[in-house]
Amino acid sequence: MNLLEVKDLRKTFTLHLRGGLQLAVLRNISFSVAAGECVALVGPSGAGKSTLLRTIYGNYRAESGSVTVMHDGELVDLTRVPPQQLLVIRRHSIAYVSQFLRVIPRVSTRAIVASVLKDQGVRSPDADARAESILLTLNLPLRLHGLPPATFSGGEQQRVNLARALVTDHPVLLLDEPTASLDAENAAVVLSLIQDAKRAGRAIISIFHDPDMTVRVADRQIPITSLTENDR
Amino acid sequence: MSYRPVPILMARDLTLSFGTLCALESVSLEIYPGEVLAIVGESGSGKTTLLNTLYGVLAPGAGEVRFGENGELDRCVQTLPRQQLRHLHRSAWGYVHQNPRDALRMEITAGGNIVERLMAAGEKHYGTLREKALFWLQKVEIDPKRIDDLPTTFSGGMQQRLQIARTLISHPYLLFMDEPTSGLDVSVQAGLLDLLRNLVSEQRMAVILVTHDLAVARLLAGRIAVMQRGRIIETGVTDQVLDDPQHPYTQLLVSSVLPA
Repeated sequence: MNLLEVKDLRKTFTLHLRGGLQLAVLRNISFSVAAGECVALVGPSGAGKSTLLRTIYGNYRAESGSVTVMHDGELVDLTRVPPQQLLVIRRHSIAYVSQFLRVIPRVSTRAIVASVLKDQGVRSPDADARAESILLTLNLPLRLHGLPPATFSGGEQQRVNLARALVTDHPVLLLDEPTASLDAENAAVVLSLIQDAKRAGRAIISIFHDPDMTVRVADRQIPITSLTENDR
Repeated sequence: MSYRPVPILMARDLTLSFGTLCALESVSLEIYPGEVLAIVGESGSGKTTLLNTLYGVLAPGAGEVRFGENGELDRCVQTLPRQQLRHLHRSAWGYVHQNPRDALRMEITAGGNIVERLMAAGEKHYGTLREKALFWLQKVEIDPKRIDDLPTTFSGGMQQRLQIARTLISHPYLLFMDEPTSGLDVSVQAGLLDLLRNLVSEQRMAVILVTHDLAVARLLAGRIAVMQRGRIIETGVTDQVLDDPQHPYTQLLVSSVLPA
């Protein structure tokens, strides 16, 4: 069963401050991801892998084409839903891990991770316990859970970001270089968590900076190529 | 699918002129329970005018603002009798001013300020009022020992937190905020953002937040509306509008601030 279907996705950026310059990034992108499957987006730097991930999540607006996601037992086209519904679908059905952690300052790491569950309606003691559990799995010790992540290292912050996406059971997971700032030991933990997510029937689309990682965890590779003049 | 969110407030085609100046031009928006809608734009774009028109203290030349709690937009701000509007402003709606002195009563104590809405609603028991005042002082990170002090002895940031406590005590379902964090220390600002986020998530409170601070909008608001010269020129999911702005003015606005 497909949890995500991308069809004829197209994205051009128009830079009004640069005299309306058009930057064509995505053309004719079509693929689908089934439950339990991990696909890797591969291609040279600047080809548009991150742009594709963001367009799927709705962070960037698709120019044309569709992004269909399984939400609440039905396939919904994210490029056509009103904003309020996109927010609900993100809360329950599609999660995205960017390379940067953006959170309200002074809020504890535990609360930051638990808030994702609380937004889904999970009550406090349960949400906090699940947050602690995933943080511990990601090798973030208990003594850090009460601290805000602002002072954490890059690798620690990245794991907080990952914890936010892995603490829930969103059926579709989008990961942008989830192991980029991690050492080998922590990268191995993330790899095994991705395997767990696959076994749990989640659909994963990821960009890995490490080709070895791609080979070890991805079932398929989707090549993203830089556009040539003819494509525009 | 069955998902049909019902707004608790809806504005249609609000237009308002001050003399020859068009302050609002065909502004329409909806606000839903449990969400924060940020209204951004530069000074003079009509943000506060829009907020005050939605709140009912400015009358539009054309258009209307409808609202209702039970899934029906059965009441209209513009035709509501003054008495009922005043009651709404004291209980189910809240308004947080940019300058706390516009809202606080400077001659009565912090505790007295906080419980004013409860007293207006008929609560007379001293012990209950005192207990609630202490609870809310702690919630906004003001030392409970300051309960009997006058707001004049408070710093600007503390006054702002006092105003917020005094507004939230009646558990409004809709909160109007005009640059509520602009005068605050960054550490205090973070505490308030967290408090608001929790109230929105747990109590399904809705917030209309006027701000020029795009970082605050990003952290707090699910949706955003960008205003320029009295019109909403772009609207959508906050990260979408800030990361992939479509309108030339939004692109200018986003590219003009330091990354946050």
